[in-house]
Amino acid sequence: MIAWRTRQRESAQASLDSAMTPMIDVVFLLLVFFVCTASFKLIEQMLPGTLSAQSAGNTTQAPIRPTPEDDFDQVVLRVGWENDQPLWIVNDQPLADATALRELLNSLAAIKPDARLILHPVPEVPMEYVINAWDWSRLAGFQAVAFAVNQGE
Amino acid sequence: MKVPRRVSGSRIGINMTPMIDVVFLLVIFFLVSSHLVRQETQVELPLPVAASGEDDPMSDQPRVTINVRADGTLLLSGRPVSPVVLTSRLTALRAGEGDQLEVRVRTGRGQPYASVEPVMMACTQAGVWNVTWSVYRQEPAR
Repeated sequence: MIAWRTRQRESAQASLDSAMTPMIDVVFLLLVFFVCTASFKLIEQMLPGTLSAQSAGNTTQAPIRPTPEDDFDQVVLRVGWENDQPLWIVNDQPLADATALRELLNSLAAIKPDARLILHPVPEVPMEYVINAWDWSRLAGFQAVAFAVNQGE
Repeated sequence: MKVPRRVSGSRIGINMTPMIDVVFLLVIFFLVSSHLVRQETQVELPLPVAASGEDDPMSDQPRVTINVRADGTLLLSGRPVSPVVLTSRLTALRAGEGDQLEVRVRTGRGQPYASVEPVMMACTQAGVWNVTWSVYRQEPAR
């Protein structure tokens, strides 16, 4: 009687062991499947813009201390690079820092959001700051932001 | 006499487990291989971050993606090209696609603007004015 019970228990154990193997197979496959399909990449977005080949000579430029009565066609934002720091220059007037630039951009965009903002970076400036300037201009409310490109250089 | 016991019910069924195994393996194979093909054109670059970035519209607009590597190499369709070749390729594409052609520039955030300037020049010479930038999303800090 005891021998029969022991045999029965062993048989049940063997059956359980054999049932576990395909389950582990499928579980591992599911795991690999989800690891493969999961995206570990950051979400990539796009920043729209245009190029501008026109010169900034014959258009009305924005004042450095704008008032609501001011009328201007475009804002030229130059991004310089000095002592490993970005240099923000709006219409040939250097600004103290990024905060001052953002304040000026906000006030200019509040007066005339359809004015054209021309971004003019120097070759040495890292793209991070160029994109920052572009981003802040769009956030300020400028509808047309363009890169200045010197043709024929 | 011992009568041989017949197998009761004759349960002949298809074992699903190996089939599921094989199907999943095939699915994973195609997923991984398609991912590798996509990586050919999507070069890993530390893109700049922007708060005003927009989600890709997934439109039918013709688009060319140009990757600018840290060493200044320009990659068009995953292959290095010189600025001259890039200009001629963009000119040909512009002639075929018209004003709708969009150039998407992917560049690292630490790279100097000088490495991207040849792309801008090529776009200008080819008559492509619609240039967009690939960025990572940044929450607006206000």
